[in-house]
Amino acid sequence: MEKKSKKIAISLGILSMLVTSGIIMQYRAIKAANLDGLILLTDTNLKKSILQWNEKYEDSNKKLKNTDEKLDELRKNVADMQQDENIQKNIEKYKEILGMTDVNGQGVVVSVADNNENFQNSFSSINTSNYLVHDGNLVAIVNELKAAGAEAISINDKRITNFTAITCAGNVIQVNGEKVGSPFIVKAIGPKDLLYGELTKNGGTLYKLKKYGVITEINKSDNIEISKNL
Amino acid sequence: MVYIAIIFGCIIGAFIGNFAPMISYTYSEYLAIAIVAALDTIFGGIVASINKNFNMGVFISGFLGNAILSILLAYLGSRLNVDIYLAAIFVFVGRIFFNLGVIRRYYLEKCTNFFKERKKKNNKKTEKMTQK
Repeated sequence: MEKKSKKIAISLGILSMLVTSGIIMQYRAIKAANLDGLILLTDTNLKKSILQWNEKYEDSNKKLKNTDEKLDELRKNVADMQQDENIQKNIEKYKEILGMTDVNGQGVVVSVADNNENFQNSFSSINTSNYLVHDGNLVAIVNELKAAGAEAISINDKRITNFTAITCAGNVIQVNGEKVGSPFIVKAIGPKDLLYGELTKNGGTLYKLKKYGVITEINKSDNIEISKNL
Repeated sequence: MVYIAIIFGCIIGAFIGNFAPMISYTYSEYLAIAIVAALDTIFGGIVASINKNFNMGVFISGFLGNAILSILLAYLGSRLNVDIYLAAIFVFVGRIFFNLGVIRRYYLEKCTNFFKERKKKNNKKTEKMTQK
């Protein structure tokens, strides 16, 4: 009998311990949830969703911290890498591709401009749109230059990389979100004869533009400078 | 003995709860129901020990079963947009009051018996005094 009452006492004690710890945890959770700004919110669903978003925000903050730490580690690793020459060379190469360095060398300078005079030509039409340079024309020029092996291209000193978008924006053209107007000076660094030949071939983009009435000009040059992408 | 154990458990539990990690607000709803279920089981256990028909298996299975079932019901309710947890709380709190009534009656009876006996003793003493 004595043993049994001991057993009862112990089990009830353990259970009451669980209950009080639960109550206090709950109390703390509710207390933490009662933010100053939320007292006025009687809608429990709204309050709940705000708290849930708060939790999500804190979680993502933690994630951000973690990734920051990872980034720091990677930066340390990079510092180690900087002593390796091969890696350094590769980095230079990729930087050039990404447009993160100034480049200079031989190449061609193409300039295309809107023709503001009413120019009679073989393709002549009433559509004045034919006399203007469009975003598609610039894209075609850039693509031709790339096909011919251009290493670095810029339009009006805006560096063209693999991520650059050339889009129409009314009376101007946007290159990566920056407005560019006529005349367009396209600089390309690469084997200048190849580039020149590619652009001036019969049926090429420049040929077509000329036929439509756009003012075009192309020059070879031995020393072209293209500044880095911002 | 039982009450000493309960008080002791409460103190330890308060300490543990104070230093336990914070639970998120989303789950506090379910913890509340589990707390009510456990309170119900504690009162049931006290009543059983008073009536001297305490059974460990019934006690533990009652606690676990009630807590888990009520949490599951609350979860189902939140999925179905019905406040089923209210029903669980209704049942538990109703039973807590019932058990409290049993405990109260038991101790009230004990008290009244105690006072009655003392009165009897006093009466006897006074009778003896007067006889002398």
